[in-house]
Amino acid sequence: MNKKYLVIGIGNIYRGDDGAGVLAARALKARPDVPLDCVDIQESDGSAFALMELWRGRGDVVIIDAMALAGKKSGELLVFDGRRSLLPLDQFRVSTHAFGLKEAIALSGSLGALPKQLTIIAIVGADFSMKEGLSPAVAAAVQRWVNEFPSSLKAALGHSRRTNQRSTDARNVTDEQLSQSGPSNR
Amino acid sequence: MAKRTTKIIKVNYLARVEGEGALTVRFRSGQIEDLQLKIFEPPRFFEAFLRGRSAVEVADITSRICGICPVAYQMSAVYAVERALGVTVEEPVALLRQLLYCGEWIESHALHVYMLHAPDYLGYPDVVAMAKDHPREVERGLAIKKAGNAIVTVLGGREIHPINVRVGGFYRLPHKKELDALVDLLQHALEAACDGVRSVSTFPFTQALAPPELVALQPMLSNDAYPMCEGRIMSSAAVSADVADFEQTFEEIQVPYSNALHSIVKGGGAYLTGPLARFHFHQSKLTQRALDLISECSRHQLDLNQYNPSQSIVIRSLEIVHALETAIAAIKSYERPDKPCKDIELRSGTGMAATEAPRGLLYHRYSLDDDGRILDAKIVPPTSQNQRAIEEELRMILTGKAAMSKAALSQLCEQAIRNHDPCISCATHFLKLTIEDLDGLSGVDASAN
Repeated sequence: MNKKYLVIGIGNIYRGDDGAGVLAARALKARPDVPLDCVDIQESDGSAFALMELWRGRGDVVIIDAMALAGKKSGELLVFDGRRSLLPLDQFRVSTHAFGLKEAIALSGSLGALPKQLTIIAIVGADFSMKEGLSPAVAAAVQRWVNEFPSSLKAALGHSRRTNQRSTDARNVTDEQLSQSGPSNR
Repeated sequence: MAKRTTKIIKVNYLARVEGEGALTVRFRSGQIEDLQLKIFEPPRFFEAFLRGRSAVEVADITSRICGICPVAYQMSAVYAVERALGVTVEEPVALLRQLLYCGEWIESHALHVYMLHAPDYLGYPDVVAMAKDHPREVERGLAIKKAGNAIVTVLGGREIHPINVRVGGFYRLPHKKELDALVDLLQHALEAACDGVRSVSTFPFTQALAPPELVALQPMLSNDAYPMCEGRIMSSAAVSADVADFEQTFEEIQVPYSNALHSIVKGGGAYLTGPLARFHFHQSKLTQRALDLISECSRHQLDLNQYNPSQSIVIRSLEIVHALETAIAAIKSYERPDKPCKDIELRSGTGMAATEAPRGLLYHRYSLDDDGRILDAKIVPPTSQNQRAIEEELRMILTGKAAMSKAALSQLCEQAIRNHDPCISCATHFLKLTIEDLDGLSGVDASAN
């Protein structure tokens, strides 16, 4: 059964802050105030075809992923509309070893198969080296989002749209910054 | 006196291939003076990583060589170690390994045919652009790939870098109902794959070429099937060798411009492994639906018996059909064995194995000490073996084309390389092309990257 909302935490927990999305998804799933009958919470390594398969036929999808964004401080939480951003496609012309979130959005867009709403929560990471554990600012950002998400979800369930989730920062994320996203997009 | 001109074609980063590499072609007075397929991805050192590790770790270490064809590495690795330990797996386990391998052929070929190669024929820079006008082709590829992924997930434990293969068998055997649950998905993918063959067989193909020496596995007479997991090594020239004699038959040589070794036939030259070679020797052993599709193609004047690398997209598509039918048959005949794995005793020995990865022959050799620790490992991936043959094919294709535009030459070279689906990640990643006219005297643009 397709639940109304799908949350996908993307990342690799063995690459420092890149694990933020996956750890956020796990923490969210463990909370008693998240209505799992309405929300499907999944983890992903971020490969494009797996993401496309996860969100195929879904109406409302939230992606949480660590990113390296120029000009942003680590631990910042940025929210933007995955359907509207013009993502750079240079990587799509190279190896499928590097097909990730951007490519999944682009290809789903071409196929007319994007979810009706695709919200991307970007946690600005600092350290993507090969180790387990998040840097303090990123761990705090994950906790902040996990604490806030249930109430915004309740509001969304009540109002069908989660416009109250969008932060002012979302309007400040440029396509150029997205093109510099970190290893979780690989 | 004739005017001397020098033109260099450089593809600085080859697109739509697995990994990172480059191509440089130097023309002098209209003739190819030099041609170098450069694999500049740094060496991976896997053979060195393996030294000192237990033989039982080979499947999990070598699968990390490639995210597209990890099963191939696992298969060649476990069969080689099992030979070193004197272990032969029973038929049900061998059948499951073949099923897992079918999953990888399906997902790897679907990725290449529909996401990387088809844009060449339909005139698009990439699959995102192609998907807007040809969504059915792309959706077909996704459906087929999904079926391959499902096999690998159920049998391998996860979609990428499976974790269920071990020396002597598997860690866990699937229950019959787990495999039976895949059949509908595979049947759906099979119909899509058959439509796929009909579709790609109408693509515009270039002319046939003189074939290189073709090399593939020749399955044992007792298992006279299309090659995948075992067999002797045969070639279209004189080679007929046991896998144990691979290193006496072929040699790897270093070239200064590439981080991947080139393989040649000892005392001979370049050779080609992969779908074109397998099809050349064994097309009659494909499954019935694939054979019926070959007949359909021939009724439409498509001659698949000539060596034409641009038709490799059809042959890969036929191999997808074959792998899907083989997988469905394997699932239907599956009876869960009592034990997932044979008891193994670690000891000294040397074992070699070669299997047919989606891109071609993949050879492994391991020498073990008394405790079964790896003393020495050798891995020869298909892309490394095919590099020289691809270079020679490019020379053939580019002969007499010096006057073409830079853009046309670049497209020609890149498509010729993509015909062989090279995996640079395996051979060490890909592709960078440069065309230069050093004297500025020929009809092409100067110094372009």
